[in-house]
Amino acid sequence: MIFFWEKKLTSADIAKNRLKMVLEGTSNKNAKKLYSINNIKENIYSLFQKTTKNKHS
Amino acid sequence: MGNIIAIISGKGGVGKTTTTANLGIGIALQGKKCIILDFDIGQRNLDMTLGLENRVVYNMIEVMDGEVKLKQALIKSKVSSNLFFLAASQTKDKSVLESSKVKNLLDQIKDDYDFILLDAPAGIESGYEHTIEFAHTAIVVVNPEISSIRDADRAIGILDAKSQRVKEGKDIDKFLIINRIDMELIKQGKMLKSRDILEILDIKLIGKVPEERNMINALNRGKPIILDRKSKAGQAYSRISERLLGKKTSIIDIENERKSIFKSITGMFK
Repeated sequence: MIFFWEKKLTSADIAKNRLKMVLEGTSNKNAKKLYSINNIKENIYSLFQKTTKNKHS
Repeated sequence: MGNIIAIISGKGGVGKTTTTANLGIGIALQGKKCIILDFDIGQRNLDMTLGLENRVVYNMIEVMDGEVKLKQALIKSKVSSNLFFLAASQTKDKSVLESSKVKNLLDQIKDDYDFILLDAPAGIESGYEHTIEFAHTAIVVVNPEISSIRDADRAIGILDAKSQRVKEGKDIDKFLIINRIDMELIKQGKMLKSRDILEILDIKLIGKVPEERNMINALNRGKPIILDRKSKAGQAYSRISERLLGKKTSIIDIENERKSIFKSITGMFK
């Protein structure tokens, strides 16, 4: 049952939701996000290594 | 050096070849020298789309294999002296393509043309990989339907992994063309909107092309729709060509275009 305040999904809405579902985790968009997160992680790690090396020297 | 643009989609039948033909003409008509290469080996159709099928004597594979010279295989378009075409082989298959041969051919061409358009085959196999390998730019053609968008996402992923530019640490420009938009279906909530497609694929939009009944007529006659000045799809391709040339032509929001009062009244009597 759909209440009057709930939006009735159109077939385009259903298509969008199904696409998002199948592409979740595998989509190019997610891969890009993951790549940039990994890049940030690597940058922080190398910065951390540099600062610790400096301390020891 | 010319801009090497691969026209890709992942899924077949979305309008890659039609888009390639129309953009090639659009670019040439604006005074830039352009060459179109058909990479759909074994299933060539670009010659017919351009209306040049009777002039194909030699093909791209024969040039790659050194059997004929590039000049012998080049076909000059009837529409513009700036447009040239190199046909795919119809008797061989995609497995004859090799990276070194593709690179040699593009090296021969790239300094003589402003734009080099490569029409990719459907799918994501070796033929597709060779098409994108040396491209500077990719134009992704999609239809507003789920299988086309899912396949395009996969094709973009492979582009990002296997393109030579990406391997060299450079960026490959990626643009999206949403083809065959049916305004009526969008209004009825039965077709995905451009906004939704862009949200899913996350690449830059370069143009929207409306569905047009006259497209089949243009294909039948070998006269690409861009030559029909009254055609909305033709006008859309023309505007996309301008954007490729770096002009700041705005993207018309065809999904929310309002009908004129006259059209609405005449539509009531159809």
